[in-house]
Amino acid sequence: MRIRLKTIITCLLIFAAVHLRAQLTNIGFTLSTEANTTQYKLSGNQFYPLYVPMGSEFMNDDWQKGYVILENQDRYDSLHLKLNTYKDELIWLHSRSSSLVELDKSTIREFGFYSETGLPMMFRKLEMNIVPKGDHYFRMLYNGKLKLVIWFKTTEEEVPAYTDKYGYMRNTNFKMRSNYFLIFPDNDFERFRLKRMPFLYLFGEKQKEVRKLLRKNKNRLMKESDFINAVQLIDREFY
Amino acid sequence: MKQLIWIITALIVGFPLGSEAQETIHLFPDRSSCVSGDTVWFYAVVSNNGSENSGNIIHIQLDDLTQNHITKVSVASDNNCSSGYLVVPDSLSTGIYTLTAFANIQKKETSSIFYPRYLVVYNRFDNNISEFNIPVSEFKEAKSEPGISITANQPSNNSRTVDVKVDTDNNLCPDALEMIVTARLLDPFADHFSGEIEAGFETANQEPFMPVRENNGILITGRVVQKETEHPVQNTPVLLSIADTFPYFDYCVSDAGGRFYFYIRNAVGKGNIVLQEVSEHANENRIELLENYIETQKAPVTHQILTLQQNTFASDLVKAAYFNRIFKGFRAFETDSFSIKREFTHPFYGPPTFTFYPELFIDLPDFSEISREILHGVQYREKNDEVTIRLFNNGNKSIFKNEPLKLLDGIPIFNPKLLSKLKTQDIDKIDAVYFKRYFGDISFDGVLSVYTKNRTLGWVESVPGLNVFKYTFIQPPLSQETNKSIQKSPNSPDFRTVFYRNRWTETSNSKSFSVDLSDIKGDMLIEVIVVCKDKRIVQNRKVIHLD
Repeated sequence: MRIRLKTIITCLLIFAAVHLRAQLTNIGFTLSTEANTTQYKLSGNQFYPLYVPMGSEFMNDDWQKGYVILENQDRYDSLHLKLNTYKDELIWLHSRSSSLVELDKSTIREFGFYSETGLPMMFRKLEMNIVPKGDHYFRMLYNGKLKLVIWFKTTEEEVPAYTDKYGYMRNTNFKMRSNYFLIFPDNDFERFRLKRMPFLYLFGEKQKEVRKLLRKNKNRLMKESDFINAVQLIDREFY
Repeated sequence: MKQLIWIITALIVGFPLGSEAQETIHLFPDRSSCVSGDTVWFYAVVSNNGSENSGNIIHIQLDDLTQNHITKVSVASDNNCSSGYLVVPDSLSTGIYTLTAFANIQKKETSSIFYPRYLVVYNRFDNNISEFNIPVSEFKEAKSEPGISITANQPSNNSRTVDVKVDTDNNLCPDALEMIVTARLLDPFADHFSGEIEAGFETANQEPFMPVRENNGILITGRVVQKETEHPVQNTPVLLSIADTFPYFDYCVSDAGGRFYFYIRNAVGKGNIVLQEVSEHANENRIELLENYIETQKAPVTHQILTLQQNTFASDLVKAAYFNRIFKGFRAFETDSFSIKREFTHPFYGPPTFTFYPELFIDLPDFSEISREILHGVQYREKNDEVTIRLFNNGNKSIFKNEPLKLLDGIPIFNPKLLSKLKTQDIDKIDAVYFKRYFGDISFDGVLSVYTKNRTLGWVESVPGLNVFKYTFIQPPLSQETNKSIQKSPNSPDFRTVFYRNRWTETSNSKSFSVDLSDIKGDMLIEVIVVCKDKRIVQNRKVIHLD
């Protein structure tokens, strides 16, 4: 009787200990001093990927190495990241536990993807004052008093019916669009198409002077880099 | 040829050492002696700070001559100069003590040099102060350097006011970053030791651990040891929490020495931190905090008997302190206030999926009823005297298999029974997160955070495994009440020993001010310190003999 009681108590104690630990750590993943840092810990919710039969919910389907700067200036490097352009959220691959984490947008100030060619592709969280209002991640093309940014947004669009890889009929496609914005010094967001005239219209009364400036600098506003140079010139000259 | 090789080798070896300039911190207390219970004000200037991205927290510790640590404060500097105060304990024995300023990063280099100052303390109950153990150190003589001139008039017969003029050279002025001026009573004994001394680490006792640059933050270090054997406990997670409306939470895994650390930013004042170890053997272990002091070289001491003049001055000072308390009473600074600045818009558990306010509903007698009637998505079960809580998982629309992280007033609790007796009237609000949450390397199956109306930590004492520590963080900024700010009453005596203290950050060629003397007899010492833009420190002092 006493032995049986002892066994039960031991089993209960082991169960309680395992239970206590399970509340804090991932199963199959033990905490180590590697987890220690004086920086604020990266936080977020578990990310559940959608089933996307056509297109993608990410800007890039592959994990890209990048960095994250938090609102308190803490910086994390060499993270595996993906930008979910459908939810406008940053997804982090927590490699030590092989988990997908949707990082808390409220803690992030900036992030970027390293590039082999040089400068990283830098994104900033900015609060947009036009619909859809709120905090969004923007790719910074030029960051001065004027800002030239892109907001990547994926939407689910209706397309002619097709059969997916499981043999089910589908009629939607996840398509990402690049929305260009010029942000004026008073934080006024103006969306434009990457064309010469829509861009020039943004400057209202200054349009003539802007046109003159661009002509003088032989900038024909043909490609994205021309627009970046143009905003830089305009910023330097008029703002 | 050999010489050339030697030179090249020396350059290669020496270059990396020289490229990182070491920080040096100079301390300027407002007095060289005090009576126990007094408050010593100080400025601390960081110089030779090679890095732009440097810390700004300076620790000032008070030790006796045998390097026993008495007390410590931590202050945040602004433009490499910080100000603060240190309350000398009321019961401190008469003797000579050292005030040493250091930054945490200095622990990294064993070659770090510190510049302590001696402080003579007269115990306020000591009636006959006649002898001292004095240090036999090489003092940096309190020097008068060119570039600063001090002129002061002798007060006329009935006047107790001295007009002082400080002139700085044209060459010095453009380089000056700030100027600190002190006019105080000259102590004929203590002012023999008022100069800076130089001290290095007492390497035998030094245990460098986590020498981070503290920038508006304080590094808390501690150890987990086995209760019986005192052996360090390795690889055990330690949770730190600070109860607040916006709870603070962090974790650390103990290293081979059982040590853990937490870097807490923007915490000001004295606050309660709750530490708990989360392991199956937690009840066999003990958590202790390691005090953040440095061990500097001890100075040899010798014995000295005071002269009659020194003895009389010391007695006068003790009597003055006694009468000062009778006339003005004892005013303690509010050291128990605590605040921690929010760095983010949400607590560590992110934006809550739902926030419930139970008081908006009918009165319910316990948490079981509350969860059933109000908390949709919270599954509370009582079976065989066991309580389990599970949350709804919004991510995959199911119920989590494990217990959520439960917080009671921001403190993690692992026994759900602690919530059982809470009534609607006890609860202010409940935040619930219906997602699997990640915080660094740990994860929770949802979060249930209950905030009570009466947020005292009284209940923590009764919960096994929870350890409450009172911890002193960054000293709240406070300005010294000297100069004209004190309204003197004509009917009460004036026992000030520091007559004037000011810091100018905009320097000009000439500064004029008047100093009101107190009723304690003695000579006056005027000290001027100029901190240059290149962090060079130029100082001058002048003794004004008063009849």
